[in-house]
Amino acid sequence: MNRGGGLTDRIRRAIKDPVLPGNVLRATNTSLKKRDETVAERPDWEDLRERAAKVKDHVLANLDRYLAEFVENARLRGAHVHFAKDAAAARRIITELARRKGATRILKAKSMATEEVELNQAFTARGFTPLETDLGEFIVQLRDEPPSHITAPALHCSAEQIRDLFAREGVTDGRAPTDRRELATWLSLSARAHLRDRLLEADLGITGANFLVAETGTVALIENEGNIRLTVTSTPVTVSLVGIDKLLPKLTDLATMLPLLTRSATGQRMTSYFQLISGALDEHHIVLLDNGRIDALRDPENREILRCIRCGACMNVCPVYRTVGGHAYGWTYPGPIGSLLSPLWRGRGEDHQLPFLSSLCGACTDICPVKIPIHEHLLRMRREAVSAGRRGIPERLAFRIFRYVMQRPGLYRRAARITKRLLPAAARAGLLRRWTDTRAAPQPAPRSFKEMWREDGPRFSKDP
Amino acid sequence: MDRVFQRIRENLAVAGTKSPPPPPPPPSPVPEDPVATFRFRLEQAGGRWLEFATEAAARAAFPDDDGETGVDRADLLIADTGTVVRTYATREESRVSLVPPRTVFLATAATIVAGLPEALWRLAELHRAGPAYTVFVTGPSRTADVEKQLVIPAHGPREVIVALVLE
Amino acid sequence: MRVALFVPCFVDVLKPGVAVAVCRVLSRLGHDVIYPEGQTCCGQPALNAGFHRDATCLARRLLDLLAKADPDAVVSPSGSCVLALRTAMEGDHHLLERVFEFSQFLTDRLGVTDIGAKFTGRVTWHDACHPLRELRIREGPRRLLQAVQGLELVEMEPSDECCGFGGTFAVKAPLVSTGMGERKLKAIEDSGAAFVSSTESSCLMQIEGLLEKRGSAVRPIHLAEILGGGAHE
Repeated sequence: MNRGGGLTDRIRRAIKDPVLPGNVLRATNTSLKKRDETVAERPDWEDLRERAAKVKDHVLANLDRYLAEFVENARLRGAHVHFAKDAAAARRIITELARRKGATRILKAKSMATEEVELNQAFTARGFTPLETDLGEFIVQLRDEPPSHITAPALHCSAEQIRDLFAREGVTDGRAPTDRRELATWLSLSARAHLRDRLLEADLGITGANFLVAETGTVALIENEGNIRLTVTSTPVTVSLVGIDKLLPKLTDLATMLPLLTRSATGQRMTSYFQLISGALDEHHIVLLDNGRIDALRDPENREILRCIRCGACMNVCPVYRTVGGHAYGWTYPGPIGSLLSPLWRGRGEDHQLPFLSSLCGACTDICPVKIPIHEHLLRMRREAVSAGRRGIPERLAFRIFRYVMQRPGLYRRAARITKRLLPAAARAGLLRRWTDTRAAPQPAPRSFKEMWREDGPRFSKDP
Repeated sequence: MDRVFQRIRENLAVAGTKSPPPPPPPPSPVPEDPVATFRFRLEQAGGRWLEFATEAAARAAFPDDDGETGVDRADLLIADTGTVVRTYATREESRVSLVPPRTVFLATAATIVAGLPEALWRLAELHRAGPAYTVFVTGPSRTADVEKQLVIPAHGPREVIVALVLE
Repeated sequence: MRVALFVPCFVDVLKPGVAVAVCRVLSRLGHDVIYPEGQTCCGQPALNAGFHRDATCLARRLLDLLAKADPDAVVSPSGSCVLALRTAMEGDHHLLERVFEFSQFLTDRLGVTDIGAKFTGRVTWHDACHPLRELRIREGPRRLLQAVQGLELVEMEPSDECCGFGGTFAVKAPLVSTGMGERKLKAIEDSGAAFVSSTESSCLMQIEGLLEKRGSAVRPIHLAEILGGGAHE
């Protein structure tokens, strides 16, 4: 499974995959269950969400001020701050830094920003690839594919697939336990042993960040494995690539954001590690990433989308994501929030189809810890796609006819009669295959309600 | 960099909403018995709790010269989550609670705070003053990247012990 | 009370029995049921496809037409169509506050949960997305069902995941829609119920199509058909 081909191809490939749908469903179910359990412990959950939304709205509406404050404080504490306007700039700054430092052994902590700018590909082109230190990232790196989920990168893989992959790549020596229940432990511990030496000493560490704090110039990092701590402390030089949307005004704002993030992402009250780095490393380069974020500020509707704290809960709960997994979406950020971020930040032709890949069920909106009304934005982006003339002529024509007919009851009645008569024949002729391939065709009633009402409406009022 | 701020200002000006700063997070409810709460949460997160009469006794129980155990101290304990908070002077120093398979945090009951807001209020002062590097540790390192099944350890310690010194 | 029926187009053509059942229940409760002529579509397909102006135009047309009959309330057996009217009009029409989804009209507006219905069988409940998440309909229909004599309500797990219909989504992304529907089917079948019920005729259409295709013995039935003594009484 990878991200090649068009949207429809990728969806078909995902659904027809013999194991992927089952893997995705099992993993997302586990995540949701843990999330629900720990959320239920916080009677103030709705307050927290409300507060978090306000914090993000405030910081985004004053982003110039807070960004300036962050830059000043980070520099005062000894960090080097860079700015990357787009993906190419981010790649250039980081690979150039690595070259200047003569770094060849590069550790990488899990970071969606580095996925977004395709940093690994840039390094590979220069002859050395950073080592992904997060287990999930390590797995997808070996599989030569991008993560399929923003907080659980290898969620689409089964333990058996990982077992075979590790054997093939020499991570394990092939004597896997036969008891399935022991497999995850054996694989995870094997990966630890395999990576151990490389993780203890290297030349350059690359991280993302969960939050930036303006008042203290802090980079905040959340994790469970300890690989990010190793990435930061095993290397003399650290680079953190961070989207400018991750700013918070004050350190205490983390008290609002953190419980929301850890519970929504992994169902934990607190993750194993949480680092606050305020310029205290030997050499810390912070690369602030724009890549479409500043343009997204222009429209207050879009600004609301930038509240996202990348917990991934909307993916776990989304029935579409749960059916197709993350790769089908085609970019770094899958799921409902990805269907907003991809058109907003990247905006390639196909990205504009993503808001249509949803039943608008609204589960994402209910679960979002920062109260982004995700499905309403999906609908809004559909409207914008229509007004921008991005929808095809057949669809536009169809809705013109639809409106014309539906404004005229006489015409509607005739259309209904024709539908009634032709539907079975059309189904038989295979004209409704997009429905009938997997579902029985609906059977029109002998009489429409309109006809029934006209003929014996008064009798409906009596008990049968 | 000035160009960047300029662009942000221009974009914000198009829809010049000024949203007011939210009030600071409310304090955590104070647990009846902070030590018991901390211990419960620590154990829930996979950590171990021990009590020692004196620091010397604790240190004697955990010799740190075998490479198996890193003996560290806790600056703060967060009752609500069973978390140890530790501010390190350097990145090298922080590896005491990262590289050895077992970490022992020496702590006293006086360092317990109710929740995350209280811990952050104290840390804010420190981080506002200058460079600082703080790590929050909640139980041993873990991963769930294979089928969301919990595995301990991942790349950090497999055992985290909070040793409360009573005197 | 003078209650106007708002019968969505697909109910009119494909499931008129549902509208008849709504009519029976309301009459049984002593209301004067009227059916303003000239109803077509509320515009939901256009709304969800992003053709907002077309949707608004149809929504306004329908609301004006219903308003002319001067009803005390408008009731529809589809929550998503009720919601479509609100969304398309952005809340701006004087009739909107009198437009109700059927079950919500019974439980919230009338305060009724037992209407003296009888129905024999095990029924599982599908929480349709728009009624559940936008209209906050969750306990109401369950209370209505529990009050039905002879009916055993069994919950499916989960009851609140989308069935995959989503209007034109069902044919725009048939594979995804079907994948979602198959999970719903599994939940229904695992519940051990003989019937699956919902407030939403459109979901039931998707569920029915899938059940039939795989020859399942489970029958879909709208809440109104249970309460109004439809075909299965």
